[in-house]
Amino acid sequence: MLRPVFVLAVICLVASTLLGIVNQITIAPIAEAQQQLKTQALGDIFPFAVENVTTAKTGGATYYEVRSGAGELKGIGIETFTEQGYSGRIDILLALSPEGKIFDYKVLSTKETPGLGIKIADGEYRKQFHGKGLSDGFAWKVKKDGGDVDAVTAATISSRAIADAIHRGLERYKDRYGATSPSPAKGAVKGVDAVTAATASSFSTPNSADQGKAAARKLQFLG
Amino acid sequence: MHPYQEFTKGIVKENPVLRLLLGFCPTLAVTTTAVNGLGMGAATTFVLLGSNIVISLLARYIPDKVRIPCYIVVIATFVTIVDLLIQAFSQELNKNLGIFIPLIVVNCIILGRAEAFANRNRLIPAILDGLGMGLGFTLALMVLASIRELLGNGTIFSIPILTGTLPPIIVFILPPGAFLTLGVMIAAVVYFEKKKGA
Repeated sequence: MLRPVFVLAVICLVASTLLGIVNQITIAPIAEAQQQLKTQALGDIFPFAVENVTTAKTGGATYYEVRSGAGELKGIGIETFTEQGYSGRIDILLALSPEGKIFDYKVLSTKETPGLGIKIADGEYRKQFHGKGLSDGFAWKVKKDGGDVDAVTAATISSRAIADAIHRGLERYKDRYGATSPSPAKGAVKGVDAVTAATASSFSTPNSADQGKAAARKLQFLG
Repeated sequence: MHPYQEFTKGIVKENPVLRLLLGFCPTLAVTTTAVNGLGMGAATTFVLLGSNIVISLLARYIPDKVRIPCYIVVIATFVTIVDLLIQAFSQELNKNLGIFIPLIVVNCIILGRAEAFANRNRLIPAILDGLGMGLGFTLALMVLASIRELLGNGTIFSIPILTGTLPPIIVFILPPGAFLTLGVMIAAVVYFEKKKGA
């Protein structure tokens, strides 16, 4: 009578124990891989080597401030998104100069049509945005809608979406750094809620941090 | 049946995709590039092998009434392990296969083999069946994905082949291309099997 219940319970117990163990083993590599993706993404979109990065979260937005060795602000990475993609949400990482001009962007996650809408992530397409900002009369709409953004052929919806995502990123820049007078000096930034020190340190010295993590993982195995 | 045949039957004669017509969801969805087809095939084969082994060992202890929930727990465990490993060690694959890895749980090939084969066979045949079916699934996916990638993007495994000679026919990497290509593949396999049998 109770045998089915007992058997199922035992199988579930064994399964969950096993998953617990696998989770323990993979949790560090997964976190590391995600961290690395971020660092790599930042390195890809700035025209200079990214070493010293501080992360700040303000009003739901995440900002990465890239500084030179001397602490001078060289660029700002902003996570932004749009819900208006052809297949839903598109997340991008926008790289701006301290003056709010676009260096480049990287599409972090998207479900746009392969071979078609996905071209919004191509280097050739991204070029048109280089050096553009909010304040120089560039209209953040596709040409079909009376703006200045070139659309990907046969993918107007995706092109509208990317324009929306970039525009949102530029708005986020304005929210934090002001429209006209950016303040590259440290400490002059308004509205800092949280600066995550842990992220900052692992960003600034990726190698030593990785080694530390690897060592920690080894200890876990031994202990 | 000869043990050798337990392995080979999954490749063409009882190919899970092309003959048994199982597991179409991942087959149609992930086969935009050959790499994705290979990744999905490998992940599914791992799960299939694991669940076949465990279920053939446990079958006689599992009461009939709760066998389906038991099988699903076993399968889901293997799928979660694969998912975590891919996330940890291959970001590229994780990005491309994403949501389809957890969905291996509901791939009817796996539950189908558990119900139709593993629970009434001993360990060795169950292993051979799992490997054969997994290989058949992987091959079907890779052929389908290679055709779609070649015609839709001019490449196979990202190696340019048709680039420059034939403009890419984008429809092949869109969902309709998956249905068209799969239909032709199934027709071809059925035709040759019939011919062989006649």
